[in-house]
Amino acid sequence: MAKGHASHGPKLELLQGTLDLMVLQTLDTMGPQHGYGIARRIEQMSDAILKLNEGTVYAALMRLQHRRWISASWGTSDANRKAKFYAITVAGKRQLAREVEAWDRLAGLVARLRGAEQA
Amino acid sequence: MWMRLRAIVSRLTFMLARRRLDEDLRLEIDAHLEALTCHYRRQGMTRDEAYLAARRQFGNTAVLRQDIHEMNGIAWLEDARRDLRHTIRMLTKAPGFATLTVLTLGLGIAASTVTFSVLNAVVLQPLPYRDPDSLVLLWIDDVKRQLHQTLIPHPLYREWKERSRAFSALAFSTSNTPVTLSVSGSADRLDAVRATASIFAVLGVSPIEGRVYTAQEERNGDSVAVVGRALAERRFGSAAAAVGRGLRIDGELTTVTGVMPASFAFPGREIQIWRPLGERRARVMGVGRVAAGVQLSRARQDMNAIGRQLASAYPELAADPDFPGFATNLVRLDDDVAGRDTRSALWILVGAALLTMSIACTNVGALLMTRAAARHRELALQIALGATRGRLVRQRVIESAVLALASAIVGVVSAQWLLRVLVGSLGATIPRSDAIVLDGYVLAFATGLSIACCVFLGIVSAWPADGPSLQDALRDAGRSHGVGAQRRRVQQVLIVAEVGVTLSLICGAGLVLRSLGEVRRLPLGFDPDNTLLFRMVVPNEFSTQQRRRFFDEATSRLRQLPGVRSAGVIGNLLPVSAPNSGVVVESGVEPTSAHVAILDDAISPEAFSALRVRLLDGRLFNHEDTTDSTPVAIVNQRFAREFWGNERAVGKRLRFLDDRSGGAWVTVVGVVDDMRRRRLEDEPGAQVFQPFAQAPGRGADVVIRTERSPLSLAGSVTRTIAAIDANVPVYRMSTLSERLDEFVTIRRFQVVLLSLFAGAGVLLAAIGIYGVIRQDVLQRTQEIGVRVALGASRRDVVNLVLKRCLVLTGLGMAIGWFASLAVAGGMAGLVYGVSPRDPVTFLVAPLLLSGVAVIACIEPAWRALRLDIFKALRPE
Repeated sequence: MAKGHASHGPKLELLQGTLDLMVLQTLDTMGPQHGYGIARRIEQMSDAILKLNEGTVYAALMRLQHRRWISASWGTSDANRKAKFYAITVAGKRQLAREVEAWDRLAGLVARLRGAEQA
Repeated sequence: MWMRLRAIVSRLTFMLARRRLDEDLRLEIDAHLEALTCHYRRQGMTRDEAYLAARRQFGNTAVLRQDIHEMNGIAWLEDARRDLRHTIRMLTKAPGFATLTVLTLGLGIAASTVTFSVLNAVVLQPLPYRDPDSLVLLWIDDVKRQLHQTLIPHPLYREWKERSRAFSALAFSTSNTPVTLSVSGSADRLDAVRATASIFAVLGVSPIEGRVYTAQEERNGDSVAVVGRALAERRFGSAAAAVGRGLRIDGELTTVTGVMPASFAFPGREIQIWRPLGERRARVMGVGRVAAGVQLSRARQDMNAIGRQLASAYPELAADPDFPGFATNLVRLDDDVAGRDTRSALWILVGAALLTMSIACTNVGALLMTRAAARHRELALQIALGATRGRLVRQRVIESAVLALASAIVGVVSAQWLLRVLVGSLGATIPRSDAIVLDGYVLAFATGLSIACCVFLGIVSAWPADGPSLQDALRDAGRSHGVGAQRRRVQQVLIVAEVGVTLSLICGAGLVLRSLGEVRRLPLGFDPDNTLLFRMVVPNEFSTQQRRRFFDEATSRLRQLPGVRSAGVIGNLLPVSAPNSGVVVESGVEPTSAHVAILDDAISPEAFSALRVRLLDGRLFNHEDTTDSTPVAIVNQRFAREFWGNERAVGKRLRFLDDRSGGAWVTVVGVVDDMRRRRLEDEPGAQVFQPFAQAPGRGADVVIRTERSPLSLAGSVTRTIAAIDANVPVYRMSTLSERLDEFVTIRRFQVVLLSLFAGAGVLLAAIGIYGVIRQDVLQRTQEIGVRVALGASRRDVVNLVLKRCLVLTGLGMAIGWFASLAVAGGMAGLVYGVSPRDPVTFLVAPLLLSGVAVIACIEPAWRALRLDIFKALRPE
């Protein structure tokens, strides 16, 4: 049921947002990618610290399409197979900048708090 | 809020492409899994191991696909659509139930909508004037003659205009004074008034073409006129073409300055020509716009004070017995337009419509309960399969909405049709009937009613769903125990109520029908059958001598037409406005009421015979009664009684207060029967007649007694008059009976509508009784089987069914009978000639309804008789 989304706790909400951010960042860095490629890239970069259910990437992709931050089109993969390619949109780039900034500020705050504690 | 909306829009757009998106996703997942499997195999896993690892790494595909599927849609909309499909499937499976429900509710909605649209047009809708709430009509109350709301005499209105402070503007108009419009060789009679130039501004209506005449033109006495749209289009082809053109009105060449919209209807709907009042010393009616912030009561006080000032300023008028006085009467314009009679009649109809609607709802309630009983097992099954209570309720709501919507469509369409029939047959004589249409307000009303129906249906049908527990439902499965019995009791209560309400409707319809009959049976004092009536007006410039000659010649030529028995003239047979004559009688007793309203008229000798008026004493007029002979008069019985009591009236003398007959004494030569010439319900007042030859007016009604159908003579009558003088218009031609019918239009309107409602009520009650009794027989199948097996005769079985039917209807009628008595008390104003507790009505109505109830039981009784007892007794 669609209602389920709203009833998740804040912790899950954050995780979901994080995945969305990672997908956006991936597309921004690497250009248009298919779902498998995105999953590989995140796995590589995470260095196995992140336990990722790769199916959730597709949920994130659909969510981002709903917000019009990415667009999708069919194309041909390196392996010469038909695949759906996702690309970040202008609105998506703006959103990414906003989220990265928020993320950095949050990280900075945490760092400052930790610094204050150590002093 | 904005984000929410955007999310919904995006979901909706994705929903449209959903099938493709789902397919895309399936392909993507497959490709992804395949790629992952390859990836693991390259790391050295076996095929199966690699596949399993890929699945593990990917997660649950079914859940993912479901999640994404739901992301691309709106859950409640999806569910609603599914339920809608389900509902329509269920309804088409029970077409009888669906049709009956929709027709029943549709009938109720149609009845209520029709009544509401009439009410809306006549009472609720604002008048087509600017800010109509601040408009009032001004009249004079003639205290001496006890006449209310009479025309305002000169010079009062000119003084009012000077002195009044309570009004921001005042305007005056004569009452309808028809004029003759001559068009090359023929003449047309049109309703017209003279009005001050301010009338258009006071009412706040602008012309659709041209301009209205100005105060300057009015002062100059210019021959200008504003005409109605209908006249402009008839005479000049279009409203625009009329401006600046000339019209010959009563022989005077008049320039059209502007054309008013069709909705402009002051002071009456029939008026087509408005001309400046100028300096004429006419009697007029007034209309004023109360100044901002002034209460109507303040305006009344103000006018009364002015009245007192004027009474002392004009002592000679105050002393004049013919002068109606200075007492003003202010009425709000909208109160005046929809008269009190019409209003109360309409509210009664609204009551009747609501009762019909309640019967319809009761019926549908009973139907739904029957259906709920039949669906018991289906519901239980749905619950067992995991349908939530919310889901079940939603299904019911959707079912109700579908039924209510269908009923609304049926209702509005039939209302539209009914209205056309109704306005077509009765329209002309109901005030503002031209405004009776299905407009936005009416549709809003019908919609509101349908929503109310929907809620009602939902509650009734959802109600039993709370009752049974799952186990009960599955075990019971529609048998006649427990909840079934309780539901049946509720149904029976509904039927009892329905029968009661129906009886009230029948009684109401019966009372107005009987009243109409009584009014029709009133002695008229003349014979309206086979009588043709029309009006003629001679041109202004005719001298008294010419008038006399014209009417003489006209009637004698008419008498020679084949099919004509007699033809005569009378000044105004059925006068619209109040009488105005004052008389002084010689050596009489004081009349019983100080100042009797007297209707006086000129009549030719033949008119009495054409009307078949009974002569009670003395003689009728004859051709020796001319200008040269002694002035004579005939009075009616009421007149004689009022003025001379038991003394013989013939030979007494009287004198008219106006200058007629040079103030000479007039001798009474005969007494005739009282004629009902105004509202039929009113007792005829005092009437006095002079020979037409001694007092010929410009206009007169011609009365022709015919041998065959009066209207078949219309053509030859018109030709005969045109042959004498083509400039004399012949108009308002109809049979006398038709004209008398107009007196009872409102009553007929009530009778038609109330009978319609009562008829609908009876039909619905019959359906309701049939449904319940049939259900009863079905549920008592076993019991009846046992009785038959134990030796009950066919007659016993029929009695069993009939008894149930009669107990229910009898109970309903007993309650309804007393309710009807109360309702009848409220209808006292509409009832005429019979008691509101009229024994005939209150006896016939229950008999009628019992008859219908018995007829409704025939089929169930027959079903009970044909019962196969072996089948009936076999356990399920």
